[in-house]
Amino acid sequence: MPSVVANQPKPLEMKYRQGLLRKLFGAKAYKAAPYMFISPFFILFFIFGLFPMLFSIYLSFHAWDPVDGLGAMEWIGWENYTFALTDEWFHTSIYNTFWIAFASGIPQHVLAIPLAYFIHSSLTKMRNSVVGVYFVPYITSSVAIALVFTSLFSRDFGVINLVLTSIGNFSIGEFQPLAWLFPTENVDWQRPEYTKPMISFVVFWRYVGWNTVLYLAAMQTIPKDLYEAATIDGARRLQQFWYITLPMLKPMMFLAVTLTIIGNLQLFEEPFIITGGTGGLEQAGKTAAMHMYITAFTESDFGTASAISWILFMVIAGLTWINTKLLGSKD
Amino acid sequence: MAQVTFKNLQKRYGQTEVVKSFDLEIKDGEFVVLLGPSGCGKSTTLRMLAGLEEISGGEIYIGDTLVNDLHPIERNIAMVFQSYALYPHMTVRENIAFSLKIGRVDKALIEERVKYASDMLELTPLLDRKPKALSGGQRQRVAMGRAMVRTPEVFLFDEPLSNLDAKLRGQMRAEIKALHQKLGTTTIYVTHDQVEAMTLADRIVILNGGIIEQIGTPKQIFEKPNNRFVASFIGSPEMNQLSAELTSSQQIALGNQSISTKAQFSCSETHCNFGIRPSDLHLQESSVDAPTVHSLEALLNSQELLGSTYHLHCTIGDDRFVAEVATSEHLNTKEGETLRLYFDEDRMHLFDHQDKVILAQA
Ligand SMILES: Nc1ncnc2c1ncn2[C@@H]1O[C@H](COP(=O)(O)OP(=O)(O)OP(=O)(O)O)[C@@H](O)[C@H]1O
Ligand SMILES: [Mg+2]
Repeated sequence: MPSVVANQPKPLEMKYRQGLLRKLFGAKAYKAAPYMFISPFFILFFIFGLFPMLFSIYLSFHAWDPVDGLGAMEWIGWENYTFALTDEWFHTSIYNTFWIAFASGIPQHVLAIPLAYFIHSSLTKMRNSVVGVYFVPYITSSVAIALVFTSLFSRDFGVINLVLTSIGNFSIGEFQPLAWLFPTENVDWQRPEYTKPMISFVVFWRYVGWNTVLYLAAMQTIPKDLYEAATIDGARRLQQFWYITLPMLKPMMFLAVTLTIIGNLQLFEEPFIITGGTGGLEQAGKTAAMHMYITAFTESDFGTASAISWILFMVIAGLTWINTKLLGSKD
Repeated sequence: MAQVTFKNLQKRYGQTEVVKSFDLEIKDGEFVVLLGPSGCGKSTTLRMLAGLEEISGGEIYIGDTLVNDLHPIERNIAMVFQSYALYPHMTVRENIAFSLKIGRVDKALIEERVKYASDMLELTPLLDRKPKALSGGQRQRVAMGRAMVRTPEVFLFDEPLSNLDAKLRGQMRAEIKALHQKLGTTTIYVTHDQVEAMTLADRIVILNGGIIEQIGTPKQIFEKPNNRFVASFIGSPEMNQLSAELTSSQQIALGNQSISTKAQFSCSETHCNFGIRPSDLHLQESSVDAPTVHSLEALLNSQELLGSTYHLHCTIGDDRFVAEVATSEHLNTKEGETLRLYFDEDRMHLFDHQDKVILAQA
């Protein structure tokens, strides 16, 4: 061995810190610690998540008024389901739900994608503030939203009527050129034919920002050189959007549409507040979730309400499955 | 096909000058390689030609057309990117056909062109796959196919092989060369790999810090570097640089040794740098086949066997250098002993205090 070794430094004595948990609980408890830490979730989930879910299956085959106590449950088989499915009000509520789901859902995506593309490709410094503005409705309390919209749509004092009628009453001498398209008198937005469009508009307005953020995030992951390659291949901006951006957004479209389907079919807050919890005149704004709520808590028919919730679940599952077939791909 | 002319081309990002006065004329059908260290402005120059980057000053002509303000598609160029930039949601066929589809070319003609390109690049069995299901080399070929179908006037390559492993890189290099010979399209190829540059180029443009250091054929660049940067950038192992004194026009002093040259050198200052490539140093006078042979005595510090050659690490005075000698030539010199190294006078280089080459005056 060469003599250099003599000059080598001695190995150091290292004093590594002991893990805090091990020090506190000892080795054995240390192993159990992870389970302890994760247990609050499971305890809460079992009590407030899993149990009510399973109980509602059980409930959906019984007639039960909770006021009479647990002993009053009576097995009635599929009767709750057949009743719900033949109930005209349930039909109306399902029709309303789909009406609003489509009328608010489709524009949400049709607008959010180009909007996100515009923000992505044209804005630089302003980007975050613009995204922020679009996102605000999503985090605003629905009560505040309802308040604002009911005053906007108020018959006698609302801004909407003011704007519409002033356009409608615009006149050159005796002639009113726009009266055929715009109202000349205040519109009563409470009337049933306006309920669904109004709710749809609020839902659309509320979630368009959320979808824009989702699509924007997805667009930011598309490599820039794909656009450069497409530019060199001769594609102009619209063609790039069509041939590059849209196909590359497919995975995000699948997620966003799934979220919209689930959210819109369970729509409750907005119609509940806008119609003051009644469902509106002629039930025009009553969604399936509202119908379920009213059946349970106003009519105290928990069996039927449970059956409705499971029917709704099946509908959502079915639509999500169709969406998977359309937009979800394995590669 | 067309020639490409750069006239005083410049690129600035705010205050930073990335490309400074780039002048170059590329002949029709020529294969030109832009070579230089990372960040020297190669990609920027190429991207300005492609129309992906705005031009801050100067002019670019393709053929006789000034293209400064033309959209990329109007410049009739095709580009292969380092990342390949294949469209991941399209099949190989769709990737190759994309530019033709955008250009609304007749369906039958598209098919014919795709077939032509895929036959030439051996992609036919892969046409219905997505890029994800291809190997690196296959992706590279798809990118080339995509550039080829359009029959552009100029091909641009931006470090197309740097994502491949060494073996595949060699293979693809040969394929690019073959493709160029078949198609004869003017090609500009960016790389920082000198082997690619040496093997592919008709002419090499050496860039450094946004400035052209030298333009020449691979042979010229290797044998007659203009300055110390080019000399040390090209060649592996790097050219040796020893500090020297030009004591008279035919006398070079290296430490306490001196060489009397046949050629004459003149320089305003006596201090200069003496450069010689490791492979130009020999252990036996007989292995130097040249009219004027010089020799230097050096101290051997260590030696490495690399198979067919030895690397001898030596010193003269304080300067370290390397000699690369054939194993057959190798003598039994031990570390710590002195040896004599022979070289051809035509193979040595002298650089002045500004690192510019001092040319021999016959
Ligand atoms: N947007 C920008 N703003 C400021 N400087 C930039 C910008 N883009 C590039 N640069 C600078 O321009 C210089 C040249 O960049 P370029 O991409 O042309 O280098 P390169 O020679 O291709 O290098 P590499 O071999 O690493 O690809 C670099 O120093 C880089 O930092
Ligand atoms: Mg580059």
